[in-house]
Amino acid sequence: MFPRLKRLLLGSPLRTAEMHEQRLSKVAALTVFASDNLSSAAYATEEILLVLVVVGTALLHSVIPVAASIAVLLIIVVFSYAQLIHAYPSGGGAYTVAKENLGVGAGLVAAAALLIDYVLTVAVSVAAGVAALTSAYHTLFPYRTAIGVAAIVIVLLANLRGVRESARVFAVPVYTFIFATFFMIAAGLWRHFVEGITLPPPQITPETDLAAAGAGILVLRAFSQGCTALTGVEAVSNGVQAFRQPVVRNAQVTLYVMAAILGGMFLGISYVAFEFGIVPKADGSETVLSQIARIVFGQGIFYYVMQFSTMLILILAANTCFAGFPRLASILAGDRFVPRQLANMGDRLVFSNGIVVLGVLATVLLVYFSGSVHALLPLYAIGVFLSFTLSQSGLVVHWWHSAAPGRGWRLALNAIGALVTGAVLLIIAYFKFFHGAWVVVVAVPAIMFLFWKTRRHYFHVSMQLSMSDTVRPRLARHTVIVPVPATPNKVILTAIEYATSISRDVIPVTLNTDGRPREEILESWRKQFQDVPLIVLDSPYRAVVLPLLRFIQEVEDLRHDDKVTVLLPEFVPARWWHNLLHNQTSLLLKGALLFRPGIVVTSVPHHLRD
Amino acid sequence: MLSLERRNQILQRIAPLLRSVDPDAHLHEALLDSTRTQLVLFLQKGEWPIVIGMRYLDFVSLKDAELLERLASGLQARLDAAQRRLDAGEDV
Repeated sequence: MFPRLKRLLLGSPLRTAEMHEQRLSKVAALTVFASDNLSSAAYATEEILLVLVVVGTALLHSVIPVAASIAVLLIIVVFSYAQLIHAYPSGGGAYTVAKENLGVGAGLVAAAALLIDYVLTVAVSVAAGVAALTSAYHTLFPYRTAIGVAAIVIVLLANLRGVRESARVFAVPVYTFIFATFFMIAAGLWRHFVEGITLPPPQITPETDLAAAGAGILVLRAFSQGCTALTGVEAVSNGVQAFRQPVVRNAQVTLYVMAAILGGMFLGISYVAFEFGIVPKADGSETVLSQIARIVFGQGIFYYVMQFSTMLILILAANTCFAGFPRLASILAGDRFVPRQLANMGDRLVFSNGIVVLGVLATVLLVYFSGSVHALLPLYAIGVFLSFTLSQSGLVVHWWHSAAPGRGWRLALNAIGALVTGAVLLIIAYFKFFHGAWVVVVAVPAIMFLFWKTRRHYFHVSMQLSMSDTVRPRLARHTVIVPVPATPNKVILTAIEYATSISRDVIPVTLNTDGRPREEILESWRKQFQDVPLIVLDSPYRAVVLPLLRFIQEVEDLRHDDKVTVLLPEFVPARWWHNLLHNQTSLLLKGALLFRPGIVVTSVPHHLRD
Repeated sequence: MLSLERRNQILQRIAPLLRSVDPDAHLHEALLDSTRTQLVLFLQKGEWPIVIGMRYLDFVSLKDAELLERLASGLQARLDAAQRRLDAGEDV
């Protein structure tokens, strides 16, 4: 049943030879790598406004300088990352760059931060995508968590099927979102400045007064919230290998174009929102972007195009992580820092285990935070800026040791990048700490601890399995214990035949649980198996597993220089549910013997007919 | 493998000796291993299965008093091992 369902959902297995790399033009690459970054424009302005509105309308004008500051930060980060592309044309994630230049510890900090952020990106993007949908259809708002979970499941299954980052599929929603957003901004400016449309000032009840909150503090908090706009910048540098020749130039141009588009959209949305006096809805029932689209386009087709393209680009942003997380996890698995299963490719030539882990973790987060973007965002961005800072710092070290032309100005650029992103990291950590960022601050060292414990485990396993210092063992004697029922049957016949074929020391043992005369049991046994004496143990309290375990231990103690095998006769019913009708003594014994060193446990199945 | 007759002879010799060592210990079975050098005695005291091994040559050559002493020390060693396991919480 399960294999059929698996084939239906995931498709037929692919041969390893079918794996191929996609080489992308700049236009196509933009759609593949930019969705995570560009989609941030959908919620970054709203997050800034959510901080500023706590003092009413007094600080709403700050949205423009805050957005402009973030745009400047974007320029610095993008120019820094362009140097990363130059230094690592084969693709250099923060883990690789930090590990190679700053040491394994720094690499693991970056890796932990990135893994957390991939999970958060999926949860945040899906939550924001669903918010775009529920803004258009308010009746769906109460079901936003369920819709979000369904979206994650769909993306998860699509990735398990091996839907590659197909530029052709991605192009439609990505370019629709870009054009729709710029069209909305242009139309919004036209309606405001040419048609003279203005809205009444927003009515907001301040939660606190400006003097108490402190204008500077609030602006910095708004800045830290808005920095989520920079998430996804690193995607291009991670995927340099996917570009057509010349890869470095093409990747850098794509990065600049992506930043220009994001900067334009983010500043435009922030400006239009400010001019129209749009503020986030207190109950979160409609996004700022939806409010702008509704004012600009009314309830017409363009409004729905805007909302659906927003939803789709956000889902695609989540999809990007389903490529990034498993790829990073597989690199870490190769270095033995995470379970090796994460390096295994599934039937469809994708890292299936990593995809499933990401899907499960993102779903848990989404459900825990009830699908609310605003509730999830305090956890976000801190990991991104941590990895920005580490990779930029790693590049400073890289250029320091490099003799490449232009190393001086590249080093300076990356040093500025490291300093600025480091400072922003501190700002984000400080202002978001008690709003949820503490979770990430605690989680990064906790994950690093797990990395080291995992690596230590693999090291110990490899030491114990190594044959370098092994003296070849002598041919040991072999004692086989066969637990049997008091009355022999065909299953026992099969088991005893097998046992006597592998050893001359076979000890069948049974438990007399119902007080039958011992001689009667022995007589019944001898009729079938004259050559193999049966040991009958009395069990006056009808215990089964414990007396058998004690007996096995006694034999093991006597034969501690030999191999001891416990051979379990089992019959296999024709239908799985028939198992419910039988004792599972073998299963219990297997479980109990699993952790006994020196004892081999073997099953001898006897298949029953229907 | 022991013949039924030889097996019964062994049981008949050891059972009374064992009773005098520990009346609660019951002898269930005696086997000769595949090398034909080791005699394995399967006992039970209460719920504890006990397995004692001795050289078959010793069983044949020892006098009853010596065999009784060997049985007593073997039984005590196994009971001590069982107690140690109980104390250490290793008994499943």
